[in-house]
Amino acid sequence: MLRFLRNILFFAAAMLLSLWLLELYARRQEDPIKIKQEYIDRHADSITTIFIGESQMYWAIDPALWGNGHEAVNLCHNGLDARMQCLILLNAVNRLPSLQRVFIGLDYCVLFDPLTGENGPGRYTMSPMRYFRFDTIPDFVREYFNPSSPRWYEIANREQFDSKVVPWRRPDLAECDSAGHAQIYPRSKLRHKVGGIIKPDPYIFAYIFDYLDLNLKFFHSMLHHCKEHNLEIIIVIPPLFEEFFYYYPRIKMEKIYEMADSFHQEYGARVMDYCKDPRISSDLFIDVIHMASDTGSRVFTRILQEDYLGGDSLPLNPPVTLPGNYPVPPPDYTYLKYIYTKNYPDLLVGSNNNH
Amino acid sequence: MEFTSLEFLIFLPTVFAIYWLLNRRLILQNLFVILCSYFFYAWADWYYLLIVLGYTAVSYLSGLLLERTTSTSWRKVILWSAVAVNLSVLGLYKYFGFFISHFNRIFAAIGFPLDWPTLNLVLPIGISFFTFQALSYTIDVYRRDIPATHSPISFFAFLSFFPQILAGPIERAAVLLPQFQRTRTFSYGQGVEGMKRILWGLVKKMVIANNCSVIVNEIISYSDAYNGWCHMLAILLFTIQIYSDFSGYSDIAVGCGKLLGINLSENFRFPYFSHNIREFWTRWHITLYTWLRDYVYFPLGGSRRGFRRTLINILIVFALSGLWHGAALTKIGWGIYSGICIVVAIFLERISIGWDSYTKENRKAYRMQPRHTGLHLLGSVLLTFFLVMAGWIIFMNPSLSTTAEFIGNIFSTRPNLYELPSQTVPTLCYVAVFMLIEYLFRNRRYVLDFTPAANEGAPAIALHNWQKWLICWALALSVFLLAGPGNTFIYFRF
Repeated sequence: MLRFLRNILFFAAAMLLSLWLLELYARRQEDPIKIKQEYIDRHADSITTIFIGESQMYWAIDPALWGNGHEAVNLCHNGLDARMQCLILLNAVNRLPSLQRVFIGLDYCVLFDPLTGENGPGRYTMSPMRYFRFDTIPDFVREYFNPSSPRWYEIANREQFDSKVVPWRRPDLAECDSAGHAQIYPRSKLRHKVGGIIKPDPYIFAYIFDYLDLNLKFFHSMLHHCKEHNLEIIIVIPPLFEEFFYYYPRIKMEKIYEMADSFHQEYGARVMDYCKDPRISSDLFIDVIHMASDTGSRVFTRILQEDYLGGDSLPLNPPVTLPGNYPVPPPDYTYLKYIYTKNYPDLLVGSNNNH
Repeated sequence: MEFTSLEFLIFLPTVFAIYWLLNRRLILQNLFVILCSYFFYAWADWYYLLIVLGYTAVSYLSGLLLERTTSTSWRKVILWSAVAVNLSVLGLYKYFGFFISHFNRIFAAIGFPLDWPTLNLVLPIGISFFTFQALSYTIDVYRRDIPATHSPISFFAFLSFFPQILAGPIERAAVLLPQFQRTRTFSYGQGVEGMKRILWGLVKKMVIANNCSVIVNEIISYSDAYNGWCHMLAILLFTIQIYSDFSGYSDIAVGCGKLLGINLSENFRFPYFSHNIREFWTRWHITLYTWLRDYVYFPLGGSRRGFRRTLINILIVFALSGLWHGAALTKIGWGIYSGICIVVAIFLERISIGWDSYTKENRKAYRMQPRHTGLHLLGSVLLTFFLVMAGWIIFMNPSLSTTAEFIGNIFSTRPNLYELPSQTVPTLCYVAVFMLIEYLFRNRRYVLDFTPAANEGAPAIALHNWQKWLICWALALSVFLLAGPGNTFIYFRF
C-alpha cells in the first residue's frame, strides 16, 4: 500500500508540474486577450468609449475609426451571455479612469436566450482540467474579451493567427459572392437558400418569446453601474439583414423596443435603433445578422459616430410589418431542442401561439 | 455523480482511504461501501434511491423465501412475483409512456381515440442495469445455482456497489456477492491495474467520445447543410463514440473496483476487431448479452429445439436487447437488425458446413478452425465493422423517419453549406491513434497491460519502467489538453 501511495503521489506531482509548465508556456503566447489587455493598459488614460454587446455588435464596430483611433475599445464578445457582458463592463469601468460613455448592444436575442452564465448549458464554463488548453481561455481571463482565440494548432499558422488577433482589421475575405458577401464564415452563420427561400441559420430562430429574468437582471446591473459612475449610456439596436425580418417574430421586436424604452425612462439612456436603417444596405453583411468586418463595420461605425454626435436618440422604428406569412418552424429543429428542451424544457413555447 | 466530474475526483480518494482503513472489519467496510454507493447514486436525486432500496429489499427477501420454500409451485410463485415486481417498476418508468402513446396512435388511426395519459416519468439512472442484476440473483437462487445469502449487508453492497450501479457491468451474484462476503486485501498490482484502467477509461471518454460527439452533433443538428460524405463521417465517428463512451465507463468502473479489491466483470473485449458478427456480440457489452443468453435464450430452448426455433430465439433475444436500450422503435429495430445479421451469419455457416451436416460437433470444429490471415482477415474485420456501423445508423436516430432521412442524406450529393467544426481533423487524428493503441493491445486483458509474461498468446511487451511511466504520463496529459466538451455518458440514458 505504501509503495502504491508513494507512486501515485509521485505521478500526481509529475502531472501538476507538467501542467504548470504548460500553463506558463501558454501564458507567454500572444493571443487576442493578451493583446487587447495590453492595448487597454497602454491607452487606459485616453479611452473614453467602450462597446459592450454580443456578436452582432462585435462585428459591426471598428473602434479604430472612433475619434482619434485610441479613444474606443470594442469589448463585445461572440456568444449569447448577458452575464459575460456584465462582467466585462464592470471590469472595464474599474480599469478605465477616463471612460465617459458606454454603447450597449441590445440585439435580437440577448434578453431571451437561456445561455446565461451558470444557468446556461456550460458554454463558457471552464472546468479546471481544461484551464491549460491553448484554444480555450479560462473564465477569469474571459472577463474581458471575445473568446474566439486561436486554437493550439493555429498558433503555428501565423497568418491565420494574425487575422484573428485584431479582428476589426481583418483582411478582405477570400470567398465572396458577386454582391461582396462572404460565403464562408468561421462558424455556421451562413445564409443559404433552401427551396427558393433564403433560410437563416436555425440558431437565430429563437422560439422563446419572453425574457429570461436572469438576463434582464444582468442588463439592469450594467445600466445601474454605468449610472453610478456617471457614464453616458447609449443603447444600440444593431443593424440586421433585411431578410431577417421574414423570420423574426414581430412580438419579439416589440419586446426589444419595450425594454429599450424602459431603459431610456429609468436610466436616461439614449436609444439608437439601426435594425431597419435605410443607410445600411444588405451588401454590408456577412450573414443574416453580422456585418462584414472589412466593409460593414466601417460604414456602421461612421454612421453611429455621426448620429451620436448629432444629438438626441434616433426615433425607434415602428414595429416591422412582415411581408407575409413566415414559415412555421419544423417540428424537429434538433439544434433548438438541444439547447432549449434538453436544458430548459419548460421554456420551449409553441411556435404558432404567440405570432 | 459522474466519473468525469470534479466531485468524483474528491470522492474516490476519500472512499479509497477510509475503505482500506476499515479493512480489518468486514461488516463495517461493507456498510461503508453501502453508504458511499447510496451517496454516489443519490447525488443526482435522493428520490430514486428509494427505488434502489426497494429492489434490494425485494430481491433479498425473495431469495430467503425461495431457500426456505420446498414446494415447487410456491417457489415458482415467489420467483414470478419477484420478477413481476422488478419488471413492473422498470416497465412503469421506461416503457409505459412508449406503449401507451403507441396504443393511443393505433386506436386513433382506426377511429377509436383513447387519449390515455402517458405519465412522462423521468427515468432513474441505471434502472435497466440494477433491475437485471437483481433479477439474476433471484433466478439463480430459484435454480439453486447459488444459495440465498443471509447477510443483508453483503447483499445491499452487492446490488448498490457504486462503480457499477449506474451503467454496469451487470454482475452475477455468483461472481460479485462472494467478494463482499470475504476480507479483501490490497495488492500493489491490482491497485496499479485499477489506476491504468481508470486512466484509459478517461482517455476514451474525454478525449475520444467527447470530441467525436461535437462533430456528430453538429452534422446531425444541421443535416440539411452537410453532404453525404459528412453523414458517413458522422456515423463513423458515432461508431467510435458509442464504443469509447461505454467501454470507457466500464473501464473506469472496473478500475475503481480494482482499487477496492473487487473484481468486476469485463464488458468489452476489443469488439471492433472481431472477425465476424457472431464474435462481435461475444465481445460487446458482454455482461448484458450473457445475461440475455442465460435468462432468455436458454429458457426459450436455445439451440436445442431445431434450427428454425434457434433462429427465432436469436431474433427474440436481440429484439429484447434493443428494447432494453430504450423505449423507441429505432432501438427495437436496431436489435432486430442485429439479430438478422446473426441469423444470416448462421445461415451462411450452415451452408459452408453443409446443410445436412450441421451438427453440434461439426459446428464446433468449424468454429475452431484456424483464423483467416492477411487480406482475408482484414476483409472479415472490415465487413463486421461496417455491418455494426450500419446498425448504429438505426440506433442513433430517435425515429424511423429520421433514420430514413439520415440514410437518404448519406447518398446526398449536394455541396456542403457549412464548414465542419475546426476540431474535425484533430479528432480524426485522435481516433486513428486510439484505434492503433487498441489494435496493439487487442490480445491482452486491457490496454496498458504491460505484463512481461505473454498472456493469451500475445507477445510480451518489453518496456522499461520509465517507458511505462512516460506512456501513462502522456495519456494523463492528453486528458487535460485534448478533452472535448463534457457530456453525460450515453448509456446513462438506458
